[in-house]
Amino acid sequence: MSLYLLYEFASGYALFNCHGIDEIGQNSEAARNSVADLTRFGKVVQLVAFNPFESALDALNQISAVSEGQMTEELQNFLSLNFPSVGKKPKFSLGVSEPKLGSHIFEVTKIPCQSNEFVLELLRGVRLHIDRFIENLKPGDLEKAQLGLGHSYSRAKVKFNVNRVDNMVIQAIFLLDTLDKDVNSFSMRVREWYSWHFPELVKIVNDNYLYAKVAKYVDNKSELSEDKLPGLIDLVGDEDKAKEIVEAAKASMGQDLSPVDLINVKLFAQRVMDLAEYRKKLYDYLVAKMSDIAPNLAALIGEVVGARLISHAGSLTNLAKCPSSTLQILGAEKALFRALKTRGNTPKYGLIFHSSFIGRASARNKGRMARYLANKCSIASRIDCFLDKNTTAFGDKLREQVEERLDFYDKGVAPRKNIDVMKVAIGNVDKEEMDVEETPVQPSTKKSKKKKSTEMDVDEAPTEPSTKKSKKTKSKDSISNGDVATNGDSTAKKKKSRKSD
Amino acid sequence: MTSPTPYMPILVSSFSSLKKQIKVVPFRFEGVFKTKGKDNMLCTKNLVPGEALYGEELMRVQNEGDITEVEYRVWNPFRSKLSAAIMYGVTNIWIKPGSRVLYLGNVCGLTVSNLSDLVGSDGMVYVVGYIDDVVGMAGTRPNVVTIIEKFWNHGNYRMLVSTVDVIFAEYDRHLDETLFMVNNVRFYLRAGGHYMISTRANNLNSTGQVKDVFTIHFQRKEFKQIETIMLNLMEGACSLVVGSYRLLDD
Repeated sequence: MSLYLLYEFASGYALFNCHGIDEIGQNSEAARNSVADLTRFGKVVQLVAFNPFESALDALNQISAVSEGQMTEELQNFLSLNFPSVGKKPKFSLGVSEPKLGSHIFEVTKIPCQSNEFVLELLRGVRLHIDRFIENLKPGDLEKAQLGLGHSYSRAKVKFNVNRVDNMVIQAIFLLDTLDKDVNSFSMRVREWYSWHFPELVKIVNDNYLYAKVAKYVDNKSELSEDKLPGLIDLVGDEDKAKEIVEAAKASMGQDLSPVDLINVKLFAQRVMDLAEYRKKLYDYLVAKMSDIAPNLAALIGEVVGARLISHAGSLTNLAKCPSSTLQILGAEKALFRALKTRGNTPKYGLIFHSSFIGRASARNKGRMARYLANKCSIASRIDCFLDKNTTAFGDKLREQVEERLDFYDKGVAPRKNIDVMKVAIGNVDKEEMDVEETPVQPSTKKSKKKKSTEMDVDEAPTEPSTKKSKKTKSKDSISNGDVATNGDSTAKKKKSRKSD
Repeated sequence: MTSPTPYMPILVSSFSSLKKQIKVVPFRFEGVFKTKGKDNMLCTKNLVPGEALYGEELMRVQNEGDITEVEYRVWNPFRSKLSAAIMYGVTNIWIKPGSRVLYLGNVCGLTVSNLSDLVGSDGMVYVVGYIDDVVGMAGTRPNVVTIIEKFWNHGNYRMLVSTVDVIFAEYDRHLDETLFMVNNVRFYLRAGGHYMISTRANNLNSTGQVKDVFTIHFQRKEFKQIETIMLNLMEGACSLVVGSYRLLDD
């Protein structure tokens, strides 16, 4: 009775035939000894067939199936290709690493499988010498395959979601800062350069972006005449200013520039304008990304401050891990450690200071607001990090709480209890989910109008979501599509809930 | 296999921001270095220069007769049990550049990163555990394969792991987990390989010696305990048990 071995590894499936088992005997001790030497082992076990995985996706499917003990179609094809069809009394058996997989193979293909100690010893030998058996495998290929496959397997386990990568936000905020500096220095350069030709313009137009536009439009100041005035008014927006510019152009002390020089200045002014426009687009991108990865944080303190906090902490998970006292003084480390060393007063706020709430608090209460805000930010960041759903319900509620706290310091109005607010927030989240599950049902009601049974369908719809509803839902239904639609609904519901409070 | 020439580098202050003179010398095992100077810190050569993953200190030193700089990463003995074991004087760690290591149990990203430095680009480190931050760190290191799986499902990741030279395990729960460890050893550890297990030191028996969980549960001649090191770290007393598997009688 011949024994075959199925060995599955990162590059593919391999089938081995053990001829020499009669020579070494059927016990594990002998098998162990033969493993050590490749030449001896090569006589015992020989490669029959090797089926490489076709693509990375294929490999991932195979390993997922193998880890659950299931046989895939590819494996089944591979086996049936290499084994003669099984009669009632099969003359061979297949050795596998795991009995679960073996029983599944037996169920489907009727190939008897075994996975006892003896087989395990032989498979150990195969694992040790696998790269010598397969000719096409160069050294290092196997490791690369393992790396890639391990990575994708782990990602699949963690349910890696590309849209929720916080690295984008960190890079975007860095770039935003760099861009600001660059745009500023370039604008200064444009002003200086063009002032050689038209010095008075600097004092009239203060805004950098506008200056670049005007400089590009005006070009050679000697050509600036009344007929260019309407265009100038459109640019500047102010008729008086435009007239001032024209007047100044006539009486200007600046020297003339050759056409080539003027072209260069214009090109540079165009560059500055492009950069400024790109900065705007980048800001919009940042806002969009923040609402993807940390919507509650963005709803609470704004996108820019939120992004800065995340980038300072290193990642969203780092931000979620740190205590709220750390969050309060993130960004003021220098002052903190200096104060700790000299036993002075530690700083009260770091990056948090730039949110609007601290500015609105009176001087006496700034520290208290900072602490309260940091606590709420911690909550928001933790929700964002670990909740699978994408919702701003909590962030909005937290923001309301901070506003109420501000009112309390100003006027003495007692704020609501935290537990009540959070209950409402959870309720809102569940309602959002229900809305999402109702919207796909609506098209069917339109269809059913033909059948003239609309009422029946509308009645059925609400019962579906209620059965699926659960308190802490970790459903994978991405409600990013529903979010836009439900935001209007949820605010209406919140108004309702406020009235009921 | 030619061993790398021992570095006797001298710090050139114009190249780096550190003004004190630091010498980095090899320490006892291949791939492990120690700083000589004000502090004696254990370090490994950084596989990915420029990256300090856990806020540890990076040290740039210059080779003698060579303009190139070599960067080393400090290996913190208070956070990594392997580093503590080396400093406490373990006889041999059996891990050297080019070896393959399987790391199981309570995975600590710090240890994994230093292991990956140690084995270099020729070796491989297979990490099995439920670890989020290691997946991010492993992205830049081509010799770390991360497997998100419980190590007692040893069959599930058999497609991803080759035969390894050393198994390093770190867990501080009950001894029952050793039963699962054994399966990992029997699947993946080569004959003549070694295992290192770090557990809580409350696994002491009445004579005060740490029970080697393998030799007790499995009275086979396969597992042979070589030595035990007591590590008095900050988190509480731990111990490291070093053993060999199917040592060939040569």
